[in-house]
Amino acid sequence: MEYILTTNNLSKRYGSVVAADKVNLHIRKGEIYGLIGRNGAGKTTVLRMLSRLAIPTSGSYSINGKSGRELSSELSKVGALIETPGLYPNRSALENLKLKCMALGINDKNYMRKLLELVGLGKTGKKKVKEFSFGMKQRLGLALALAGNPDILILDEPINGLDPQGIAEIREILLRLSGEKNITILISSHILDELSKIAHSYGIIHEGRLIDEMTARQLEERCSEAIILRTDDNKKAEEILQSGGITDISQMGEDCLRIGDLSLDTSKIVEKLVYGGVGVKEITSRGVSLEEYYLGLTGGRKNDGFN
Amino acid sequence: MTDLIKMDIYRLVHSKSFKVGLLFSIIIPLLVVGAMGAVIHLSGTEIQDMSMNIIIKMWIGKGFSIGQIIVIGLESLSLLVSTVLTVLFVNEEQSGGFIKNIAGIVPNRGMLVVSKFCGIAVINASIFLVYTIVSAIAGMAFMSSVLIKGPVLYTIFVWLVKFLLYMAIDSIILCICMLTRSRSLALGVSVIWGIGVIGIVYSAINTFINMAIRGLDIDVSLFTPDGVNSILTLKSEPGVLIRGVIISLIYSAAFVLITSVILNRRDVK
Repeated sequence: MEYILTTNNLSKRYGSVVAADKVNLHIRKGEIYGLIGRNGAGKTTVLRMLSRLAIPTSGSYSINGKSGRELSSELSKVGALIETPGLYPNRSALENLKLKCMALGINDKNYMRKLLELVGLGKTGKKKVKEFSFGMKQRLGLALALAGNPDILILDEPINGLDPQGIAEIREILLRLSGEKNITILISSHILDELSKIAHSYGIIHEGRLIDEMTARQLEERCSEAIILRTDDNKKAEEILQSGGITDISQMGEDCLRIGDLSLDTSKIVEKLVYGGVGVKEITSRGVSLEEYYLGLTGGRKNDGFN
Repeated sequence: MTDLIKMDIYRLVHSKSFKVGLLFSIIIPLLVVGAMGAVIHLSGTEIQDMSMNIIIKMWIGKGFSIGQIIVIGLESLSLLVSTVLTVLFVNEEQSGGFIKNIAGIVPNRGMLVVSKFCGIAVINASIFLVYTIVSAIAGMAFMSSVLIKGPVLYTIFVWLVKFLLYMAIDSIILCICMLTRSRSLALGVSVIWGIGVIGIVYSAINTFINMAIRGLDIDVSLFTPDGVNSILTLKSEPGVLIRGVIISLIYSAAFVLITSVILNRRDVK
């Protein structure tokens, strides 16, 4: 499958703070790509650069193979909802959408009405946006991003602050857009459980760096049941086990090792490590949740700006 | 570009502030010209105070042309209406964040500035037209006894140059609005400019410069659009009109360019 959007060492610096550091994303056409990261990891910064609201300090990105000046022909193919939706509070949903459509050269009122119906705002009439609930504003923001039939939709934490019903509704809309209209969706969130229900691929961003990129299938394999080991010296433990012929072993965070081969005798593993001078704190066989996998990669702890 | 201009003009004419601005454009000249008519009517009756009688008769002179009445009408707070409407119009897109929906889809953000400038042209054209029509009608209604013929072509030239000068002043307001993103600051500046208080600043600058460089007798207001606007009347020499055209073109181009360059280099919030 071809890549519709790629970034090449995309970086953004604000003074001495590096908000995004050489990020290299690879997003396939038609997929839902989940950009995962804790609060302040750099997700919004990356998305703002891709939606041309922020100018990269260095690096580049390409859409449909076009970059630099050639990108101007692809701009209308990108729709974005970044942070809170930008709306005119004293105008109705239809008027807000009409203004965006006018900027795109679209004057079809039926098209606008259908778009509002798609996001569940077909019956708001002349109600002003300032009287909308938070969820309604998010949905209007989504409608504005969809104006012009973009090929790529960039959504920055669109389910933030929504109630469970609102989250489910947005999820359904996104799945429909991806399935029926083959729109590529780049969505950021720190609500992993929700992302795991829709994303086809993931990128994990931590302290401005993209530390891992994988498909949903690869993630499933990595999170499948395995032997999880905690010792007082994981590095030494890994060396001992590798020298003993165990190759499918990887670090999982600061204090865990993951051994993929479930057929191994755990007592033999403990024996090897103890004779090698490594203290074993815990050894168990279990699957790893997306949360644990993420925390393992980033060295984070539960409830550390993350759901 | 034309789509952006259509969008901004549509937004403008469908905004409450524009309609209120037009309402003020009707009421203010109506009141001003009406008051002038009342004073003229009073001068025809016995006034106890002879000095006041003399002053009024000197003021009336041979009479007023429709052109003079229109210019007097325009000088009654139309600049304030223009600058305030400019702030409300320009700031609306940024204050709610709607600019985030637009800034990413245009290849050059300078287009956003140009489309706002076109919207400001619609603001000023509307204000000028309404002020002109109301002043003319009010003049014919309340001052018919002192109406005289006046130079039509020169009136049109003065009208056009004033329009250009208003565009130049509003281009400064546009720049302040878009770059500071602060409605309160821009409104403050627009009021200061709109009521002519900035003339005090020019006087201070003149004094400072003339003290620093002896023998130099400069008036900086002659190089500013609002300064030229304040001296531009139907009795001005043609040189003042030419100065007005040049200054308005330079200021408009400069501030639109500055705003475009900075907007292109800065992140959108």
